[in-house]
Amino acid sequence: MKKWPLFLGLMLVVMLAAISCNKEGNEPAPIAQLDRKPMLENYANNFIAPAYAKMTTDVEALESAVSAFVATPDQTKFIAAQQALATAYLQWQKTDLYEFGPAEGAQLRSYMNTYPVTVSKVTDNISSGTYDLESFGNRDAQGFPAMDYLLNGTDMSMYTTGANAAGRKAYLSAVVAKMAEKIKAVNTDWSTYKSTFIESTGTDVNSSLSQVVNGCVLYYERYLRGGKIGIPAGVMSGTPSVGHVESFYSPENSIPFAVAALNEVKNFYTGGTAASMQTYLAAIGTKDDNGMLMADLIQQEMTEAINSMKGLNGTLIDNINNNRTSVLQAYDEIQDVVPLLKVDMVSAFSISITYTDNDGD
Amino acid sequence: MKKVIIPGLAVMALLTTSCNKKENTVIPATSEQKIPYSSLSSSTSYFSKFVDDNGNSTVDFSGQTTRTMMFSEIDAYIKTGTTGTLSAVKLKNMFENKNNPFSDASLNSATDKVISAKTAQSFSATNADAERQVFLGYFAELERISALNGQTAEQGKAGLLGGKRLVDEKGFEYAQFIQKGLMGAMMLDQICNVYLGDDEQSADNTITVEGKNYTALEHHWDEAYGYLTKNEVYPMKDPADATKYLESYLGGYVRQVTAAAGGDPEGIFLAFLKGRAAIVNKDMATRDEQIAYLRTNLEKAVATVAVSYMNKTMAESDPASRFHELSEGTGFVYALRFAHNAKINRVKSDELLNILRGKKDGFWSLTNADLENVRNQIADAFGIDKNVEVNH
Repeated sequence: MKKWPLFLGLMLVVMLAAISCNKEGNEPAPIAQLDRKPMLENYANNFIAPAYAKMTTDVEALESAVSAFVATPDQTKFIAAQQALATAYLQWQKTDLYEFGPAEGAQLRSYMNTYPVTVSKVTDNISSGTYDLESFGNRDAQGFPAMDYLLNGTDMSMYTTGANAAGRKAYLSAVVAKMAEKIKAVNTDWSTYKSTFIESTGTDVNSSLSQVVNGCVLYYERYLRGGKIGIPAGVMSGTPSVGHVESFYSPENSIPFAVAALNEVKNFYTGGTAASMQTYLAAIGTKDDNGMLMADLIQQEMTEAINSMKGLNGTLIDNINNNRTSVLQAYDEIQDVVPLLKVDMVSAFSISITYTDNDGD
Repeated sequence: MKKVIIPGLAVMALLTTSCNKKENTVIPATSEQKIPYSSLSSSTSYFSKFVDDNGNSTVDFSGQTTRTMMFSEIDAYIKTGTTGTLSAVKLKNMFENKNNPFSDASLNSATDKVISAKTAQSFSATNADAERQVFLGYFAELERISALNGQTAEQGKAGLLGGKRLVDEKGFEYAQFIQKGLMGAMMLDQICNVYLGDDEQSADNTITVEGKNYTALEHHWDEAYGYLTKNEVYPMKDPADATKYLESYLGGYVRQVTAAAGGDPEGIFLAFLKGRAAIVNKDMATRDEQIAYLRTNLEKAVATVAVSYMNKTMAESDPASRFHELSEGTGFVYALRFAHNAKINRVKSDELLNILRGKKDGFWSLTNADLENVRNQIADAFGIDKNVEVNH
């Protein structure tokens, strides 16, 4: 094997680097020379665009399952619609973290997954028959949480013999139609936005790197750590509120959804076999106090976070009620990743966090 | 392909690794400082020194003042336990700002300002929850013993001691555990670990926050300051009585650790001023020096007060005064776990608390040798004169 020339070359570089750094007032790390384009290409082509495409397919499948059920409601079609919902809701866990660019402009997350659902709004809308799902006040009466209530928290007979079954069927159809409209728009926008995204290779506030990192860290911190675990477990308040778990009416899904979301963040971070935040961070070479590459430490801590969530047996609600310490420990594992991303990685990338904390300053 | 890419990255990695550790922040010459450090003094107004181009103050820490006012209402309510029965539910509601528990309506409407959320916030969720449970446990005890306020406390009997101190069977005055405890769990922790911590201090310092006239980083610094004092200078004298100060809670105690007791309240104020100026000047090296100074000196002040209370207790023979001071001191021993450098960390703090409270009859069983033991361990850890007494 011809490894010697490479080794000698590297040695030379090390020596040069050492010499060049002996001078005072050395230049900042030459981050600008690192090529961010392969990372952006990988992200756009292998992560973001496929996620929105699959999300669109899944919501369309849900829409047709609902449509079939509404046309002639029976138990078989009801179950088919429930299953289509579970599939789409799971895919949402692999899509939600990409809320930057077109999705951010469309406020996709707020239409798709504002929870807990406010059931009184849903039932008011059903009984009145007049509602505007674009209105801000209806964000908590639509999307996946409303579908979860309508298909998993509602008896099938409500659509046949129940009072105002027609209104209920109409609302179910309207909610899924709005979801389909929103996701299709973002999916379409990404096909044109993709080239802009890939070409924006700087590190300024509007650059794709800044968008990706801010979107990803915000999602991880606020919507995954806080929304899925912290708020229902009462991490900040000290008082658990299980009514705030995601997928409340199909509670067996809360933990698998959180695990799927964590996995997606990790996969996105590592980038599969191509260039990613991890390879970029490794190239910059930041290390922790023990000399471990920060790029690898983050992956390791993410794996620990995933394992800690997987380690919870039973539903998240059960665990919060009866095994809260384990939930808090899992939260701590998830939290361990936050400063690594938000402080260490962000500063290594020479970008800054542009969103502000909203925990009541 | 890979063979080409990997060496390329490796080379870059080596170049950057070897250099980025030495990132040195150039300290601007005085002429380049927007706010010259030499312009700062102990009489500089924190509010009017830091202004935008239109002369408006960029300082805002109303959230901290709101929480201090909530703290103050909790405190006042607990004091009514000497004459009436306290409700643990009401105390919990005040702690969590739920169900409109405050008499000041503006506090009830400040629904995003919650003391419990800012209690031990820098700890892991598991450990923070444990600390919050400590306070909830005190609330329950207060409800129980306040119902007994008609009897005189003695060894093994809860009630009023000296006619005015509500204590349990062991002589513990929970009002003090809570008050001094929160000075650590909320104020010291928020200042030293949260707002002066890496996360908040890595906030953006280039653009003003939307709708505000400060950067996120400037704001975080001010929020740290706001947990020490609500005043424009620190410590602030009472204009109506020059012998008194307007400081309360953590700021009130830190103020008392004067030079004679090895402290430096004015130095702490100057460090807050200088750090804030450094942020305006984009001089992170100077900012970092102030953070280190503040962390060290604030926790040393808390430790000094704890030592002082142990000394005062030893000299006190009246149980009401003795247990009152000992309860204050115990609260400060607990508070030490929230210091950034954690010379008395959770484990050590629990160990010391166990010496103070773990005997069969609690404070009634303590000897001066026990108090000396606790005192000496704290004094040694912080390098404080073990005989120090503070005028509090």
